[in-house]
Amino acid sequence: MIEKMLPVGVRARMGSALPWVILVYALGIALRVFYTLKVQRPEDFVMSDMYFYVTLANRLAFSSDPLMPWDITHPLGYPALLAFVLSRTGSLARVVDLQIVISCLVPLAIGLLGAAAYGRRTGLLATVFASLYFPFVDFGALFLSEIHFIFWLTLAFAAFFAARRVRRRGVAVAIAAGGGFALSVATAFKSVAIPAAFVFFVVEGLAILLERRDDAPSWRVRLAPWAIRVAVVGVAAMPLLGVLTSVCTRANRGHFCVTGNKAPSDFLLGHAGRLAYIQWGDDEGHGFHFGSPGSYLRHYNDHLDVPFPMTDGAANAGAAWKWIAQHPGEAIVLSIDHVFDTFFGVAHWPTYGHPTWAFAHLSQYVFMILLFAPMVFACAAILRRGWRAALTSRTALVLAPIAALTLTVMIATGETRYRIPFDIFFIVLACAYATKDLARLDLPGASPTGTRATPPRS
Amino acid sequence: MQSRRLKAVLNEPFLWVSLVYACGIGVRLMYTLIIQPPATTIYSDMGLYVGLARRIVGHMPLTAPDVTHPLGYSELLAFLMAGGQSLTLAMNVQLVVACLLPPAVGLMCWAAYGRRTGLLAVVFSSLYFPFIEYGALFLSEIHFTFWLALAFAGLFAARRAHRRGAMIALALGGGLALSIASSLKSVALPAVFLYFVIDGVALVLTRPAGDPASSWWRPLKPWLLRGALVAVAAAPLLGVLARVCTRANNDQFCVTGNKMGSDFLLGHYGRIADIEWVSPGRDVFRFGSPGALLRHYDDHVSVPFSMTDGAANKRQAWRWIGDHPGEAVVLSLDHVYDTFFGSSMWPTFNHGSWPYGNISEYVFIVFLFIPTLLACGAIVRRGWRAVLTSRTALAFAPIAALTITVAVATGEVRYRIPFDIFFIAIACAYVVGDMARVDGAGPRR
Repeated sequence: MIEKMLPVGVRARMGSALPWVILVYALGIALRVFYTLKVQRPEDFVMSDMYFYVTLANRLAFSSDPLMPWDITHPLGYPALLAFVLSRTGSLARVVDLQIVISCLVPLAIGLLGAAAYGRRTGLLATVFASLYFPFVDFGALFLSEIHFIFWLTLAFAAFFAARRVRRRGVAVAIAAGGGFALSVATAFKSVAIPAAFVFFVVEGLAILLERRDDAPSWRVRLAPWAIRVAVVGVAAMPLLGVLTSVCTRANRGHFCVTGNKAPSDFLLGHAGRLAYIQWGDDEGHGFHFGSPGSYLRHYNDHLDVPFPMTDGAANAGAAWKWIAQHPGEAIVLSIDHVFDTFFGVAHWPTYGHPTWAFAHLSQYVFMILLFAPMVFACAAILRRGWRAALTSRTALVLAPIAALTLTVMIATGETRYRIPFDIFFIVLACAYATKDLARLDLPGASPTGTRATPPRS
Repeated sequence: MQSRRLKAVLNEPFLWVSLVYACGIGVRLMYTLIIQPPATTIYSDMGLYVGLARRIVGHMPLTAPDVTHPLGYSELLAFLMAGGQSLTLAMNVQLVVACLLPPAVGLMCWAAYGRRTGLLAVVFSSLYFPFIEYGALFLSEIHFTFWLALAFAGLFAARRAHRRGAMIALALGGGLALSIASSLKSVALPAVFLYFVIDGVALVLTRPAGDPASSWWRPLKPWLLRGALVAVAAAPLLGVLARVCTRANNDQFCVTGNKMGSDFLLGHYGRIADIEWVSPGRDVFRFGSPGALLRHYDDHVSVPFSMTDGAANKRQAWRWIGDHPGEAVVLSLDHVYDTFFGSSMWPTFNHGSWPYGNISEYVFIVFLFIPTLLACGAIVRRGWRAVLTSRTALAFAPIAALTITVAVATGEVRYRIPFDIFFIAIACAYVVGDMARVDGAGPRR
C-alpha cells in the first residue's frame, strides 16, 4: 500500500537490492567505528600475540638492531606495517584508524569475491553478511594480522576467480598479476595463503583435465591458459615473497625460510600429547612458552619442557616425528582434534577472554547455522551428481582454500581464529546457495526447490 | 546349485548384521573385562551411585542429598550387590545390557522406519564406541539408553499396529519401559511428552480435508488411547518413585530427583567452573559441568543454601538471569552446543581411552549429524506441513526435548549419547532409503 504511494523511480530503486545492501553496509561501517572506538579499543588489549606484534613494530621503527630468529616466528608483514604507520611518539592511533578502514573495506572485498566466483547476487548477499559478521568486526579492533590477511586474501582470490572468467587475454593477465600481488601481501601476514592458493590451482588444473566436452581440444591446449595464469600469479607474487624470504632467511641465521620459522614448533605443539603448552629452551636469553587456544579450551594441564629453542626447526620437527612414531594412533587423533577445534571450537581467541565473549560464542553458532549447514547442503547436492561433477564444479574451487586450511591445521594446531579468515569462502558458498547462483552454475537442470507432493500417510 | 544357495545366503543382510553384532559383543567383552573394568573407575557420579547403593543395601534411610539423581540405578546396583559388597554381578548385568542394546536400537529403528533401517542400526550401534564405553562404567547411561530404545520401539510400533489388542499391548509395554527409563534419567519424560505432542499435531494436520470442524477429534482418538495406556503402564513405577523421592526430599514433591533447580542455577550463573552449595549444618556439595570444564571456565562460586533446595536455586538463577538476560540466552545456547558439539564425553576424556572418546564425536558428526541435517533439509523443502506430519519429526521429537532440557539446565556430550539412538534411526533411514519411502524425502535406494 505504502509502496504504491511512492514515486515510480523510488519504487524501482527499492525493488533493486543494491540500496538495501548499501544500507546494511553503512550499518556495518557504523558498527565497526563504534566497536573499535568505544567497545573494544585495540590499545586496551595489547597482550600475547598483540604484544609481540606491537613490540616488534616498535623495534623495527625505532631501533637499528638486526632481526634475529625469535623475531620471525610470525610473518613480518604486520609488524612492518605497524612500524610504518606508528607515529614518531610510538602512538598507535594511526594504526587504529587504518585497521578501521581495512575492516570497512573487507565486506566490499568479499562482495567482489562472491561476484567473481558465482555472480552479482552472491556478491551482494556476501557484502550484507560480511558487513554484520562479528568476527570481522572483532578482528578489526585487535592488533592482530587477521583483518589485513582477510582483506588481501579476499582480493587475491577475487582476482583468481575473475581471471578465469575474462575472455580477453590481456585483462586475464592483468587480473592474475593483481591476484599474485595480493597473494604475496596476504602471505606477508599469514603463511597459510600459499597452500590455499596452491590447492586452488591444483583443483583448477584437475578440473580442466577432467573436463568432458565433445569438441574439447587436447589437454595441453586446455591447460595453457591455466598455466599462464599460474605463471603470472607466481611472477607477480615473487618480488614481495623474495624480499620476505631474504629478510627471513638472514634473520634465521641463514636457514631458509619464507615468512617465518614457527612451522616446526607448531608441528611439535600439535603432536606431543595433550599439552597445555611447551616451554622451549632459551636462544641467547630469548625463551618461548606457547600453548594453543585449542588445547586451552580442552583444558589440558600437562606441559612439556624441551631443551632446544622454538626457532630450531630441525630439533622441533625431529622431536615431533619421534613422538608420532611412538604414538601413531594418538597422533592421528590429535590431528583430527585440530581440525575439529578449527571448525567446531567453542569460540575464537582472544575474544573468549574479553567482555565481548558472548558475541564470540554467538558468532560460532552463526557460523554453524548460516555458513556450515548450507555448505553441507551444497556439497551434498553437488556430490549426488558424481565425483567428476564435484571436482569440476565452481564450488570445488571455493572449497579448495578450506581444504588447504584443513591440511595445515592437521599438521600444526587448530583453533577457531585460524578458520575465521577462511570464512570468506564459507560466506561466498552459503550466499551462492541461498541466491541459487550455485544451482545455476554447478547444478544445471536441478529442481530448485523440490516437489511439494503430499507425503505418504504413515 | 549349491553355489546359488550359498550366494543367496551370502546376499542375506541378516547374516552380515549378525556377524557384526557378534563382533560388537566381542568388543564389549574385551573392553569391559580387560581394557576398562568398571570397578577401576569409581569416582564422581560413579562413586555417588555405588555409595548410595551400599547405603541402600545397609537399609539406611534416604535423605534429600540421596535423591539428587534418579534412584533407579542405585536401586539396581543395590539389588545386584545384595549378596555382599561385590560389584561383579552388576558388571555382568551391565555387559548383558550393553550387548542387548544394538538389538533394542534395531527394534526401535525397525518400528520407526522399517526392516532395512533396523538392520543398519544394529550394525552401527554394535560398533558405536559410546555404547561400548558406557557399558563399562557404573553410570546409568547404558541402562537408560536400552530402556529408552525399548520405550520408543513400543511407541512407534503401537502407532503402526492394525489390531487393537496388539496396539494396547505395545503401548503398555512402551509405558512400562518409559517408567524404567525415567527411573534412570528424568529426561525420558519430556522426550515422550514432546513425541506425543508432535504425534497429535500430525494427526490433526493429516485429517481428511472438507470434514466438519468437529472431525479433528476423530483422528485423535487412537492417539489419546495410546497416551492413556502409556500413562497407565508408567504410573505404578513413577508413583513409587515419586513417593520415595518426595519422602526423602523432606516432603517437597519430586518424581525422579531434586537436582533440577541446582542444574538450572549451574547453567545460568555466569561462566563458572563449579558451584559450592553450603547449607550450614546440613550438607555441602560441589558440582561443575564437564561442558564448563571443556570451555576452561575457572571461576568458583559459593551459595549459602543446599543443592537440594530447589526453590532457593531457582530464585537465585532467575535473579542472575534478570540481571544478565543476554548472557543467559547465550549460556543456554552454549549448553545446546556443548551437548551436540562438545569435544569429547565425560568421563572418557579423563581416561586412557580418550582417543576413542574424541573419535566417536567425529563419528557422530560425520555419520549421524550430517545425514540427519540432510534428511531434515530434504523434508523441510517439502513444506512445514510435510515436516510436522513426517515420521522423521516423531524420531526427532526426543532430540528436540533434549535440546530444550539442556538449554534450561547445562549441556555436555554425555547427555546426548542416549539420544544418539534417534540420530541413528534418522541417519540409517536416510541412507537405506526408508525415509524416501516413508516421508517422501531423501535419496531412494
